[in-house]
Amino acid sequence: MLSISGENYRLCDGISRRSFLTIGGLGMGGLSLPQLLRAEAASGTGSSHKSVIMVFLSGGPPHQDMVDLKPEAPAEYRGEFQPIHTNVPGIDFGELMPKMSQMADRLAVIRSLVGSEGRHAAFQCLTGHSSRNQPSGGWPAFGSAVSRVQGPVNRYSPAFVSLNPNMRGKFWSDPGQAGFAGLAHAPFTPNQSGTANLSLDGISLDKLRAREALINRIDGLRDQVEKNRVLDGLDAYYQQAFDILTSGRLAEALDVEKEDPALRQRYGGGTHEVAGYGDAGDLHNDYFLVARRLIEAGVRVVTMAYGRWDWHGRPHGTNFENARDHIPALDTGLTTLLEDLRERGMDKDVSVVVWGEFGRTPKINPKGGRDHWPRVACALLAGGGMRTGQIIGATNSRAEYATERPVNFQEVFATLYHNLGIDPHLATIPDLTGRPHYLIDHEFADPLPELV
Amino acid sequence: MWPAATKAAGIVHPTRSRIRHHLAARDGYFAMASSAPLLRLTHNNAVYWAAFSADGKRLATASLDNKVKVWDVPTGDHTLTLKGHGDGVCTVEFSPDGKLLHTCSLDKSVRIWNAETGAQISQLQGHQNYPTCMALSPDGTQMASGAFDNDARLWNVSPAANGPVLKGHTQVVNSVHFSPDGLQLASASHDSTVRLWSAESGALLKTLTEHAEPVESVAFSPGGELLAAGSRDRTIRLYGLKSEVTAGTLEGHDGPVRSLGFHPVKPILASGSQDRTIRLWSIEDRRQIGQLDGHRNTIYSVRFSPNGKLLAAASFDRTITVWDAESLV
Repeated sequence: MLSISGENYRLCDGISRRSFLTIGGLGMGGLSLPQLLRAEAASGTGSSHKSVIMVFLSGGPPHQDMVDLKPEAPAEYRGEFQPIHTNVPGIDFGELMPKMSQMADRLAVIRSLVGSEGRHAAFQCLTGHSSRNQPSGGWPAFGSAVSRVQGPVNRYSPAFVSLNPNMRGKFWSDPGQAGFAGLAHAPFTPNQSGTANLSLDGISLDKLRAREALINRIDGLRDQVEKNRVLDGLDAYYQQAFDILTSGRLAEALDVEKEDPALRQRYGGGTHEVAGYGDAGDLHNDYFLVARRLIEAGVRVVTMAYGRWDWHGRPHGTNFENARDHIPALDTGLTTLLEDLRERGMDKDVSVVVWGEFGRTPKINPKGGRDHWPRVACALLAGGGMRTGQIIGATNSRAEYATERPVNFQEVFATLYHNLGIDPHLATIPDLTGRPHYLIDHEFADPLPELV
Repeated sequence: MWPAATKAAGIVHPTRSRIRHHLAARDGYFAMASSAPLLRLTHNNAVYWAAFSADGKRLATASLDNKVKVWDVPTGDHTLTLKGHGDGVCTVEFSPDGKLLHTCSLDKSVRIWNAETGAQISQLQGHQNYPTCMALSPDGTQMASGAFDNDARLWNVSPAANGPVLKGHTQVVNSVHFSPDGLQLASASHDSTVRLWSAESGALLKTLTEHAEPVESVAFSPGGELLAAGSRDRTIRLYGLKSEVTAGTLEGHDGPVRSLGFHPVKPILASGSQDRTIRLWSIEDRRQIGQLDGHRNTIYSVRFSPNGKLLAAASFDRTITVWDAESLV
């Protein structure tokens, strides 16, 4: 899954972006000595580190068909699904979420997520920020910022892994950019092109253990990457990349075949076929399992794009047909992940967030679809020591807008940073001009008090 | 989730399927012992259509995964895949001699393929918006399609050429079907009408306006004496096309009726619905005589095999079920 040479895509500074990102995706560049020492100290701590799994529902899930049903609304608004009671009195979910309904005590549901910039993109769910008026270098993805601030947990795993596959819709396949955190903090992307197996340009792992070949490769790359001042600390980075590749722990984490088949079955299987219009990701529940395995291996942030939730209607299936296809799969994958994390004693350390870029239109369109609705959306949160079994916020009678406790995307990120032990009021990363930036805008930097 | 026992060939063992059917009884219909489809075949995305070859030995299925698969019947072996469409495939039909496959896709193309090799033979385009349906004339010389551009179109098979554009519907055309003699084409539309057209000239012959809600599906009976139309209003209306046949309404579905298929010999109609059920109706008695459960999403297509011994259903749940029709009707 790690390819050093690959296809060339030259940046204006002459550096092969893909080559660099693949290595940089190991997330080890720019490490200070203290960070490395911390990493060394943390090595072998297994799953006890704080971490985040983010599930991005590409396209925008229908909040009113999942966690904010409006059974009293007119038929053209309420849709086909009925609410079902959960194991928390007073909280109902949609009928396609029977497993989550019995695990509502372990979920916190935000019904009033606001501030979407209203465009199809993973960007806001990956960074918390608008894509407009970005600082020099661009906002780093959450995982890249965490990588920059906290460094790796151990020598054998990158801090940030994105399981996003390649998609025709590039706005959804975006695994997250390192931005001004530095390219070395870009995510490792095992499911995207050039990373289909853990080999180095044809050099097998076994051969790689005879380190000379790798060193030769890296030395060749060094000549290029050292031209860029962004790439400080590459000796440490090289060493870390080398350790990751030779240890095999990351490869093993990614190899779902090594998992108990019965547990894998519980996660629900799925398909690698792209969903819906063919421009988004697949509905593959192995990703949930791989995410857990990566966390166990030491990854701090795992992101995954899951399915295609942009359901405008026929002829690509109505909103409700697609909901019957996708939501039960999410129901199985997510609940199994939460059970699995608890069974392994990881649930207090691993925060899970599930959301999309916006909600969907309250009124059903003539094609049986729901269109984009940036005014309000939903998010599911679990684990990480958060107070669950509650609903945060509310919408009006047709799920059109927030009537109580509007929650900004950035507030969710502030909560996630808090869960990781990062204080958004204090942590800064300089942009490419050297100007420091807080990770979260000041007005949203407090974690959600309902959850922490 | 997906069927637990999905194999590479896309077959799920019937005994793992939770499907039961109801059989006709003198005083109505009632649940019989649990039964299962003979085959459950899978695509990697929603399945929009299933069609048997004339000899009943092959089944072609069309999917939102952009592919058409051909399966051996009754083994369920996957024998051929048609690749080339750039978007979902809404319909597939075998030519009467079984040598060709005709497809219509959301990529706005109608294509003809070699049914043995899977090679594409010809491709036609004309619709200005997503096609939704396609039918092949009984003699295999014409295709018809309907689309979101509100048009139905006729196409000549050999040589492949665009035919008349049938204009008149004011909303999307959801379903088309040729009469058994090939002289007429019926089209069902979201504008709540069913229209009958001359299959030769494309002239509008008649507009049926008894539906108050969108019409989702339409089918001629094998003898051409009846036209059935399934609607969003959850009913199936039977229009008598010959003076001695009376009209009627079949009620029972809990959702829009997306698909219809007449038995080739017996006076039986099968219907598939958004309510996820397949229902069997006695045309003589105008009543439901059976129900097949087990699909988890809308039934987009129901089709009896030419000899009436099998029934195939295609669903948005990514599966196709093939049933022993002789035990059902």
